[in-house]
Amino acid sequence: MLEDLDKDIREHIEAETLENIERGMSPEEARSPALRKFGNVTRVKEETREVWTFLWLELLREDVRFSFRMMRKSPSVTAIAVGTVALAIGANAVVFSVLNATILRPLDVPHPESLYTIEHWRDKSLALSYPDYLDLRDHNHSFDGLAAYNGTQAGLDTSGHPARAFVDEVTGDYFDVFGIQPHLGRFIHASDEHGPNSAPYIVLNYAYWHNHFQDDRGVIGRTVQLNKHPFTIVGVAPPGFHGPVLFFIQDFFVPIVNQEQVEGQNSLSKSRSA
Amino acid sequence: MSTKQQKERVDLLQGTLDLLILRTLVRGPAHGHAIAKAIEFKSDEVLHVEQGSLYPALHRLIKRKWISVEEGTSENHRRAKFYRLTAQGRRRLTVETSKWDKLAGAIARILGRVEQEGQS
Repeated sequence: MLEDLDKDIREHIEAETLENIERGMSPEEARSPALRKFGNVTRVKEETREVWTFLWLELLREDVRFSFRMMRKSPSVTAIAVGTVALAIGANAVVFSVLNATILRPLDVPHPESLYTIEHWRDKSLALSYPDYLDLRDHNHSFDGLAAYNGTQAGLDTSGHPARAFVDEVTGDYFDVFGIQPHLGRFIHASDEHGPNSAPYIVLNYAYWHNHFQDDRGVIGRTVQLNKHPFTIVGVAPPGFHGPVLFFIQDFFVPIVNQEQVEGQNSLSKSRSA
Repeated sequence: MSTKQQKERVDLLQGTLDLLILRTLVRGPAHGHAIAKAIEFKSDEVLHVEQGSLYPALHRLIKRKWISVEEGTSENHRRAKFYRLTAQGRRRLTVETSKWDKLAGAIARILGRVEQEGQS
């Protein structure tokens, strides 16, 4: 009905124009009196559309009321339908969140496409020791940089209430290899490493800083106890950054050279695996 | 302005346009422009009706199923939409016309009295 409205109005005005010409007006001057007589074309179109808009709303309301009445009439069918839809939505949400994390949202770093993981497997388990890493790093000619990390847990004491936290022990060039900038303070760099336990620094994960320190910018420089060893918070990582492992979200990063303090033992001098 | 005799023009009361359209269509189906012309002509060009206001009214009547639409050919051999009065619309016209007569009569009686009082 409405799709022809423009055409109907156009033809109406044309018919009026023709009539004016028949009455003796010149074709040039015949059109404007026709338009004047018709009135505001835009307003006419709007008002005509409104007639049907309200009808559409009325019909919709009736449909909704009817469907609710039918649903009340047969609760078991309704329950099955609602359950089916709920399960389907749930399944889709799970699939989407996995896809979203893995495919749709790559690592939020400057050049995610040039990042590679080096693994060495022996007896069906990852076996790449710290000395292995040092060898690879020192003889690397293929990459701009080579960083290593090791996820673990440790007790963190910020104000007399020690709590377990997830920690990523990282090598000095870790943040520089990712090419990211700290949200606050500074990162750990290779120049911080001077042998075992030489770098008692902590870089907080952004979400952890947000949740446990309420975005307090004053945390930089604060000393906390990590397994009863004093560590200084030096920086906060940028929002969304939690290293390259999808399903491990650390609370903070510490230099791997301080592993002994973090874990109570160290594997830094563990023998080479290959 | 136009050279023809100027008459005092009267704006249409709300809702009366619908009634005039229904009345016009009693004589048979017509297209939009013809309805506008007929109303203008019948009212001796006293009523001030913008031709455009015909369209919301036509659609209102279609929605209420008082008129229907069909394709046809106009007098100058063009395809055009023709509006036709439905049986429902015809019944409605009877009801509305008698309502209108009552209303007009009542108002006339009241206004007439004022005039008489003024004269005395």
